[in-house]
This record gives sequence, structure tokens and C-alpha cells, in this order.
Amino acid sequence: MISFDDMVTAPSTWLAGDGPHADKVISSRARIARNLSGYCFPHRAKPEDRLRLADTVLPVLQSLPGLRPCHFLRLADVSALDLEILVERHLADSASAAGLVGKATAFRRDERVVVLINAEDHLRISGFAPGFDLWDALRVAKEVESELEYYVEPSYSEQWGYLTSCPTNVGTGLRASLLVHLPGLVLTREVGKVMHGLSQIGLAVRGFRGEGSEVVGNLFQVSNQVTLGKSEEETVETVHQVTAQLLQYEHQAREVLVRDAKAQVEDKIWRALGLLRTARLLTTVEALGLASAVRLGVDLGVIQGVDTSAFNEMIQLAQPAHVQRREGEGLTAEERDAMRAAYVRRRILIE
Amino acid sequence: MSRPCDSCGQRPAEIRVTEVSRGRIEERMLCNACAAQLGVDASSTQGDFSVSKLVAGMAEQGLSDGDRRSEETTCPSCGLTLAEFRESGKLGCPDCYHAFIRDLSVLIRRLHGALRHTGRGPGERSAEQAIRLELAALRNQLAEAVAKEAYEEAARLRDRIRELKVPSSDHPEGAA
Ligand SMILES: [Zn+2]
Ligand SMILES: [Zn+2]
Repeated sequence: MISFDDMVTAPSTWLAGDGPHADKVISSRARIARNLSGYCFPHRAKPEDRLRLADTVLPVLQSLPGLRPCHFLRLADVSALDLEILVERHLADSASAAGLVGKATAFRRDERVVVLINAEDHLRISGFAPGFDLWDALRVAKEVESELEYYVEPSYSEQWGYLTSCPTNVGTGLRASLLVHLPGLVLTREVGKVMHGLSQIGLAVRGFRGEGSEVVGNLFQVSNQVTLGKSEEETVETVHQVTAQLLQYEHQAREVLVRDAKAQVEDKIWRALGLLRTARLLTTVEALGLASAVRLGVDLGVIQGVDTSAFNEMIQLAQPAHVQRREGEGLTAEERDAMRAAYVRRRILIE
Repeated sequence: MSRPCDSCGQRPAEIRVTEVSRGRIEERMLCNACAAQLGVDASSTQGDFSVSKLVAGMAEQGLSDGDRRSEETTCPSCGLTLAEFRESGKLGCPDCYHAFIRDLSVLIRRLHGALRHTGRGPGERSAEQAIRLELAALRNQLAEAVAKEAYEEAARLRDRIRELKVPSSDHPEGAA
């Protein structure tokens, strides 16, 4: 049985803060969209057909070695708060109570691979890896996908490849994305230009969103937009190589900061640390923003003795549903901010 | 929505876009056309940031010079009409790809710049991919072996990684 109480005390393993280039790339993700022939896409399927699909697929998923040991949950059986926790951990697609019939999730206990059932597509298989390693993320996803292909027939056409409910995903159905930390480019005000450049070559860059829709913690998600006419290998290589270039720009931006604005940058970093260690009320957005500055401080060697995994951990553990579940349901927003601040104070210590 | 697009100021705003420009985080409400020009990709997330609207808007554009009567075209398998697809941007079932092929071709070319799948199909796996995936697995095992201080195992894995060569290898092990 899954324990949400335990889940909210530790981040997903792929947020561990290790892996290649972990100072700038938080995590890698490869998501594969698949649909079954003979069924309407989830948004158009009748509730009983969505259930029939889930009943067909769940036993198959339970038998796949690539998913073991695994948790299986039908979203209609999960409380509203626990559903939000799953969403905050990318283990479910939507927290809306409407239309939960037939929706389910199956994920390996280390959360390295998850299959969403009846999300935008019948099946969405996501593989995750810590750091800059799209191939490893793809590997865990493909393992499950190829095992699954043995049991269920995906809808596929010679011309269009794998058919998806939205034509933006047709072809490979593969979205390769990286969560990158770019405080240097934000502080040097270069990030807009860089984002524009990436969009010109078919990549999407989006800010990591918190409660609202603002960019949080200088975190950005880089991913491919094109899924048709490029193989999975080409897609992964393109995202990898372009991101490698992006990391160069971030590296240069950090050098410029240290060279031209050392005092201001150090001031910002130390103030952020001071706030994290003393604040009594913190929103998710503020907490991640400050943690981003502290993380930069560690990477630049300005601060020593702060555990760098704290920033990664906060990406999940400082989110509203996680805080609520740890501290008790029915908290007001202010009480939640107080609990979050207390958690952060415990977490950000100096040796 | 009555608010005009923040970019062109003419068409109604339909999509909320978060952007970072000049070091500031800005939220803008854009029309479908201006959002499409930005290359906004909303498909990786859910919620208010609506890819359906983007696709629907592009479908409209692609069709504006086309045959309007085709709006009544219906998918025989799921009953979706072309008009409904334009409205939602979502297809009803795999057979819709066949039913709406003419209109979809216009849209898909705009989205992907291609009209044909070039990757693998069910049951196939390219030799390059097989090697790359094995390399990823070996690198993983190597990191574990090193962490456990199993140095003989690590040496063996390192040799194996060296032996495995990716065809046409220009795979950078990272930058910066
Ligand atoms: Zn506009
Ligand atoms: Zn159909």
C-alpha cells in the first residue's frame, strides 16, 4: 500500500541532485504518448469506455518488469489532497475532480517511471533521470513502452506514426525535456534573448510554474516541439546538444556576474540565505526564489556548508499539497506559509 | 474574453503566456496567431494554457482559404465533425486522422514542418538507439558501483562502456 504520509517527506529519487551537470540541470524527462486502437481518445470516450480501457491496461502494467515494484492508483479512489500531491510529483495529470472516471496512474516506487492512463492520451509513459541525462530518462520509459507493446496494440499509421489526441504530439509522441536552473541568465537579463533564440530552432522554453503561472526559482523547462519527421534519437540529440549550448551561456553569464557585479551578487546570495534562515512566513514562490539564489551561491563558491540538495528537494516538498499533508489538512494559506517557513529553516542549516 | 491581444492589440486574447524578457517575468495575454508566432508550446502541461485553442486557431488559419463546406465532414468511427475539431483542437479517435486528412495535412505541416513519420514503428528498434540505451544503463550501473565502492565491478563496466561505440558518434558528454 502506498503511504502518502511517507511520500511527502522525501522528494522523487530523480530530484536527488546528482547526475551529470547537476549544478545546472535538475532533471531529465522523456514522455511518450501512446493510444490503443479501437478506443476513442479519453476526452471523447464515454466513461464506461474509459473504465474498460483502464481495466484492460492495469493488469498488463502490473505484469511489466520495467515498472516493478510499482504503485497503482485509480484517481477516483484518491482524496483531493493526495491527488494534488501526485500532480505536484508528476504522477498524475490533473487535480480536477471532474472526469476522473477511468483515470489511473502506475508508477515504479522510485518514481523513475510513471504511466498515466486516460490522461490526454490513453497512455503517457514518462521516464525521469537526475541531472543532464535524457538518454537515461528515455531508457526507463522505453523499457516500459516496449514491454507494453507486446500486450497492447498502439494506434499507428505509416504516414503519421503514433497517433495522438492532439496533432502536436503525432509521430514519435516523444517529448524530451530538461529542467534547468538559469539564475545567471536571469540576473544578467539575457534569458529572454536566449529563449527567443531557442524557439527559433524548434525548442520550447517555459518557466517552471508554481501556484500561479509565474516563473519560479529561475527554473526553466526546455523541450522539443516537433514530434513528426524526426526519430526519437534525433529528438533527444537535438534537445541535448542545444541544452549543452544553453549551459555554456549560463556558465558565461555566471562569470560575467562574478567579474562585473561581485558585491551585488554576493549581497543577494547572503540576504537570500538570511531570509531562508529567519523568515516566519514563506510562499512557495518566495521560498524557491530564495533557494535558487542560495544554490547559485554554493555553485559560485560564495557559500559553503549548505546542502545543495535542499533546493531540489524544495521543488516538491515546499509545494502547497506537500506542506498541507505534512502539517495537517485544513490549514489557512497563512498557516501553510508559516509551516513552510519552519520546514525551510530546519532544512537550510549551516554546518 | 473581451480583452485585446497584448501583442497585436487587435484580435481577442485567448492564451496566457509567461515570458521572461529583459530580465523581467512578464505575463501576457495573446491571440492565437501571435502565440503561434512565438512558438508557444503548451502541450507539455495541462491547465489554462490551452494548446487546444492554439491548434484550433491554427486550423482556422490553415483553412481560411479552403473549402468551408468541409466543416460537415464527420469521422465515421467517433462522429466528431471537422467543426468540432476546429473548436477544440482535439481529435476524437485514431480514425479521425484519416477522416480529416486534407485539413490535418495543412495543420500538421505548420506544426511540424513535415508530413511523414521517420522514426521507428511498433516492434522496431534502431541499432543506434539500442546502443545508446545500453550505454545509459551501463553508466547508471557504473555510478552505483562507484557509490558502493565496488571497484572491480566499476572497472569492468568502464571497459564495457569504452567498447560500446555509438555509430556516427558526436554525442557530447556535456558542456560547460
Ligand atoms: Zn495578437
Ligand atoms: Zn474519429
